[in-house]
Amino acid sequence: MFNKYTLSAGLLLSLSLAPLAAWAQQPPAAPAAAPESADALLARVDRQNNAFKDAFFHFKMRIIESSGVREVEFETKQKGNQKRLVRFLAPADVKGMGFLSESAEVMYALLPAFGNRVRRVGTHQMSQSFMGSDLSTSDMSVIDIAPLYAPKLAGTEGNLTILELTLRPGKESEYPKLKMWVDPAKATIAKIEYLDASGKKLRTAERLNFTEDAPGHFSPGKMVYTDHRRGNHQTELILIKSTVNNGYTDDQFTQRALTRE
Amino acid sequence: MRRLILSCALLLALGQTARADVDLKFSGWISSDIRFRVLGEERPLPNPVPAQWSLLKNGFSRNENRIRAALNLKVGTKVRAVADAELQLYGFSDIRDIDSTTLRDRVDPYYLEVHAAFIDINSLFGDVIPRFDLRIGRQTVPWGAADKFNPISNINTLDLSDPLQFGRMLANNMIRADWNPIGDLTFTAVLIPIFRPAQLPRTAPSALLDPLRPAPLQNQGIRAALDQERGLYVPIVDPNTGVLIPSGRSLTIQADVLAPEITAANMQFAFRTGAKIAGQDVGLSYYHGRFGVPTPAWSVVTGSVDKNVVQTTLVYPKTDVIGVEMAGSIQRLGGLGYWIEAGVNIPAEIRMGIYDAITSPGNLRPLEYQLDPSTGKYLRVTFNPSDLPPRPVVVEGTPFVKATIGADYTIAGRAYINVQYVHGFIDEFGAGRAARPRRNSIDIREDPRIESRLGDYIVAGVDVKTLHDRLLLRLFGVLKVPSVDLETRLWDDYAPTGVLFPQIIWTVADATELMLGGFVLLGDRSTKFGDPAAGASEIFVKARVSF
Repeated sequence: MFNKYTLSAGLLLSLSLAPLAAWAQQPPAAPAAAPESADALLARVDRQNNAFKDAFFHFKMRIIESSGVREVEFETKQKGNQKRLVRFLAPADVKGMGFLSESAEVMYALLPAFGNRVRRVGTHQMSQSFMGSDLSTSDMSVIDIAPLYAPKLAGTEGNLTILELTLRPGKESEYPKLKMWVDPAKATIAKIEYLDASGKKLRTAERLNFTEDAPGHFSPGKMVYTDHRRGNHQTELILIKSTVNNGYTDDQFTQRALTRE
Repeated sequence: MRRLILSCALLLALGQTARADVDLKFSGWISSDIRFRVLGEERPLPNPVPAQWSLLKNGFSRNENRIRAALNLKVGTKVRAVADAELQLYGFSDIRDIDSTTLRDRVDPYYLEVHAAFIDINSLFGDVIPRFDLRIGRQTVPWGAADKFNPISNINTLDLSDPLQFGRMLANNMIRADWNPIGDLTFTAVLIPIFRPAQLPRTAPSALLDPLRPAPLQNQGIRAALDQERGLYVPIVDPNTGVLIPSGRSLTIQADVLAPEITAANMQFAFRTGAKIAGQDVGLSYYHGRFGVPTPAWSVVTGSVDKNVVQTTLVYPKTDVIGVEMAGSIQRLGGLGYWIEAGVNIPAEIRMGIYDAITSPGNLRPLEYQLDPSTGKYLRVTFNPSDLPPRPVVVEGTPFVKATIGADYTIAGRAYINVQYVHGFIDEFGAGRAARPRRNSIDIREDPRIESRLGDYIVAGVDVKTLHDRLLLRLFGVLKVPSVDLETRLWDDYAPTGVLFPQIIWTVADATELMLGGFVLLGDRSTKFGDPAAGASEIFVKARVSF
């Protein structure tokens, strides 16, 4: 009755949210001579996360387990922050599946196993993990960090500035605190530690191998997620290809596009 | 089979050297399915092919291997062609005589099913009529917001032969046009030239061929009169010894099925429009065609009183279905997903003619039944041809509604729950009430239970993922609840019945699954799922690798 992978529709879509913002970042303006405040630095990070009109990404996700490595390959098209169309390329049992997000509240799944039926998906599915990976919804869905978290400067480490972030009153997140390592020159995020209220480290996300994928744009070639609650279980997200500002139209983010492209 | 492989290889080779804008994808799977039937009622021969595939009380009910392959060919962005075929090896033999042992298709039967063979043309009229798409060929058109139980999805009939699938759509040749003028607004039109009947389960014919089952008539008085007449053929229980004494007479029912003629008048067609209102998906649809499960339309009583042969003919009921659907997500309830789907069926009435060829073999005489006020029972009478009363109704012309309402939710990111209320199961059709089989199949004196033709069911399932999603534990179930017939306001003579469907799905490696499970039918033989025609409980082992 249900294809087991329809249950993971939401998270696959959410894969494309915040990290996509991280992939395409324009070089920031030269920092001012005076020390930059935590709020100003975080604002620059958020601005650069949204520095493109649309984007295409080809990912390979490697879920590392004691029994071996599982790989999932998919492509994502994105326009703005809300419209997103994802297609699985591998493994074979999910190949052909697709997911469409028209907004944060409207999602669809394309189910080849059911005659290519397009099914409206409840947003509760965003809470599911995808194929046992360590990617969660909260870090994937946060595009703008500043509205959720209040930052504080917490020192430096090499050329990186460390920010400590606390969830603002009235906001909800799985992680009450974050610790973030930022490259102020590019306003890129090198590492995030996700903490509970007592400061205990729950997860870590590292962003590595930044390359220029378009003039003035830098994207991390690899992201590594480590879940310390699950015995340091790791998931790698490898960017195979990315292009930004491709001129996508709204027509390319409809149920018709989901079934016909 | 060899030609298929060669054709695939040729296509692949052509793909290597063809135009740069040609994209060819090949996919499929290989699977095995072994099932063991438990505590069923044996279905005696004659059986259709294959002969070794007889349904024993306890025995293997499936021993299948399937090889499925799909080709997806894209030519630029405008044209796409899809071919999807599945070779099924039964795993049983059909050996009847010495000659059949020399024939491979009798020693190792198989069949080839084509799930898709169509051509897509996107934006057929270019910018003149943007986003007008055409699809021609063998295809399925799944409509409806609900999961699996879709009262508005009637374009394709169902394969009911595998109970674990709860009805899988059968592809058919059709022409489909879609137009997406703006945003989420869509219009779809489908034309199906030739009707394709549903595939029934191997146990289904017993619902008609068992001469001691209640006749499928709406009028319970006439039904009781027919049952009374069949008492001649029921074994008698010796009151002293309790042993069954054969009646010495036989009653055999033969059933022929009359498929619709392949005329323009018998074409099916359907329309649908869909849109989004306040973030919720809504749809309106119309279908004109037939229901996929045949219904008795007339019977001719032949032979003799001692060796009575009733030749029954079944037809596929005509119907029009007006459908509405709605689906969305409720943010205030944690993103709960919901759907509502309903179809108003307007069937053509079917009345059953019963004719006597025993007493008047050269001139069929209709058997008619009239209510005797003094006894309150229906008796067989002979009318003048000009005074014949209406024949008894099998399918009422009264419109009826089939509907599904459901919701799904995820708990703690691990447990997925799906619950639906279904009014009118996938194989149910028609308003009114009908008699269920008797608990004691040979006791004609037992009054059969009377139930609404359209039952009410709770269908629910839960999936729990463990071991980093490698292991999926699934429990799915169906429970029939008491129903009331809206026309007569009569409640069912209720007896509990349902289905339990537990499964363990283990992803042993990428694209490779092992499945172990059971399909447990609950209820006595007078109930929907306990009825021998519904099949029997099974345990199964499956394996599948996708490529």
